[in-house]
Amino acid sequence: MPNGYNGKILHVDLTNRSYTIEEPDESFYRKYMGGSAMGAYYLLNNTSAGVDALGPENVLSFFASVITGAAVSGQSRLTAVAKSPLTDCIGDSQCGGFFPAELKWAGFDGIVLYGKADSPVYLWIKNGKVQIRDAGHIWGKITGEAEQMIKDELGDKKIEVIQVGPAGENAVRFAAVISMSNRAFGRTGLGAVMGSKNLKAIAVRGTNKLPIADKAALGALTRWGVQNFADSDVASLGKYGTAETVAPQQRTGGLPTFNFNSGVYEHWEDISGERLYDEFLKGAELGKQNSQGRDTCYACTVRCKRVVETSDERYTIDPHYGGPEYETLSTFGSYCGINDMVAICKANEICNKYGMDTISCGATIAWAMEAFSEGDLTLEDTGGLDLSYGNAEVMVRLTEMIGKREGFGAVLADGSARAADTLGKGHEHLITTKKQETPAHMPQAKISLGLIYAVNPFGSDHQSSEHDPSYHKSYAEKLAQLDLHEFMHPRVMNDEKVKYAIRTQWSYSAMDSINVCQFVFGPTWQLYHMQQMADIVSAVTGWDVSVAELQELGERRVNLLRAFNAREGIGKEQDTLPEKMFKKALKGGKSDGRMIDHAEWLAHRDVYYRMAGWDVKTGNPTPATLERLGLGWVAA
Amino acid sequence: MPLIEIHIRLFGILRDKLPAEAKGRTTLSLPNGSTVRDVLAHFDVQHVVSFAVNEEVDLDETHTLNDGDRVEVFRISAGG
Repeated sequence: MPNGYNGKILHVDLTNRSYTIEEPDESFYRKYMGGSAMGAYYLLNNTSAGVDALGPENVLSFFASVITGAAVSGQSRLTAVAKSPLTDCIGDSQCGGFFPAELKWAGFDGIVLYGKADSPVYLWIKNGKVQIRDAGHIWGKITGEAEQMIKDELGDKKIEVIQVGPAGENAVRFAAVISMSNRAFGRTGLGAVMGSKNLKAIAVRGTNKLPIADKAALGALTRWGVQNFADSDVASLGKYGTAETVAPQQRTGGLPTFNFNSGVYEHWEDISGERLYDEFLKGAELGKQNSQGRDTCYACTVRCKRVVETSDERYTIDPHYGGPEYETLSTFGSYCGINDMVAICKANEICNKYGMDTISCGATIAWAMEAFSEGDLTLEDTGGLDLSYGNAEVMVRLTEMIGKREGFGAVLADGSARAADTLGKGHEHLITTKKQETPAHMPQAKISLGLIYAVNPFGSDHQSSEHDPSYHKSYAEKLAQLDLHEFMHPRVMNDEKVKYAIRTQWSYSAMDSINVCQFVFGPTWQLYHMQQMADIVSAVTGWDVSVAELQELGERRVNLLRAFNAREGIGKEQDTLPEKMFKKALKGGKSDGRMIDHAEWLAHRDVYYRMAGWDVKTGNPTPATLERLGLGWVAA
Repeated sequence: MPLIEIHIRLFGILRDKLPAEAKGRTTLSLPNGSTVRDVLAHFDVQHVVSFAVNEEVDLDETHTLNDGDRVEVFRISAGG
């Protein structure tokens, strides 16, 4: 048996309710390692060009990695891959929790799902045994209820579940796959793909922990993480969650406000991570939120997940559904001009109950609010909903309507880009790239991040490269591992900054293949640096893995994803930012007057293509680049 | 030596440098000519941080403070 992984991949044919188990050799695992790289491999090999994202021919996979389940912080993550119904590109999303480790202990490194069941089903995996079970009685249930029903039915409260909520069943194009009812494979709408297959959930239980090649080395690295956590830059993120990002974003003019028309929000303190911690986390009333209001993933020392328990005369927030991340506070908050923390927490709860991406959901509502404020949308369009900025009650109501595909919610359930097409207006207000709504880090403040937003194969993503402020002398030693030495201001863009963007993109890409948390591992501020990541992979597997090998793995994954897009006819033309970022200056405070110079930006994109080894005319990987990365089979 | 009063606000885990009820806010009396670096040293800040003086962020740690300045200290804006 290999060290760290099972060597087994489960292939499930939902149409025929049957399954097979594949046992790839070690070279396959060494080449792709897991996660998104493996998912892209199976998607490319099992679909044809033009495949319908919501049709039975789409292939949905969930992959752990060669180290998932080893007892070290930040490793229990899983990647979902399929063609995206939101972007029409490759879809890719990660989620943490306990399911990923449990899947490994249950005997599989990944699951590949084909076809469509003729009625709702769920998959039950226990210690290598697989059942496809009826889910007719669970279909339509919100996530918390469905999870409990599955655990009760199978008689084991330790079962881990990933599932779609009603939004996935209703083909909301930004539907998420939900784990533990409080965290999500949020981006690119893969919950809609799972729902389209009539697959309600996957339940796993495993008790077979995997052998570790060098237990002493792994133990030393694990202990180092625990001992150094409190003094690391990650400690703050653990205590205050990603929500602590509100303050620095505001001060640097990078807090997206009024649908990306400003980078400062007058009421930012009302939606800050500090306020969330002081007043809304479970246990806050007794000063016990540090122990009661934080949740975690398997074996992780950081404990960054929020657990909110609060109520007012309008809303009661159920802590079972967690609490908002920074992205959620921004999209439902500052994007919409809303400073009502309880309403934002309610929108977060609804998204986790119905299974929706809080970024696309909040940002789509913000788009509608701008269109409404500009007079492009009327009460007639919205079914009488007053979509003025700041209307928290309507925002909450509309969030639930989207999940149910009711009324105007059905229009927004297709995402803002398609909603603009359906309504025939509002395109100038869009903040989408590749039809996916932009996350809450502004390219006007983090210029190289904006480049990655544009070239990223699955649309704008804030976790696909290191952000500009981290090209900082404080991280000199860690960045030297990537041959990055010329530190510079976040809004400076030049060839060196493009190099920073692409090299850290490959680092993040490797992390999405090894499936590690990008708050625990990474090239700058994270707990473990890239060499330590290589050391952990080596300790678990027994391979001699270097940073260079990880970087090549990351590059291989990016090229696989781009190769899928190239097959779908998606390339350079779609590698852009929202038009208004080039045409409309921001207003307010530090952000006032900021706009991206289009001609300069295009020139930097060409520099990126050359550094990537891609065709500058098409934006597609060249055959030579694919061959160099061992992906000649893609070009063939 | 004359003193200047600097209004401090610490964010995130840096708030733990002060009593919980302060919620990250305090006022320091520092010698005239003190810099941002002196403020960071006062709180023994070991983490990598950004700071703002009167909401201005593009400053060096050697920036000299004036009486009544507002200094905010927070984590570098990264992913999340």
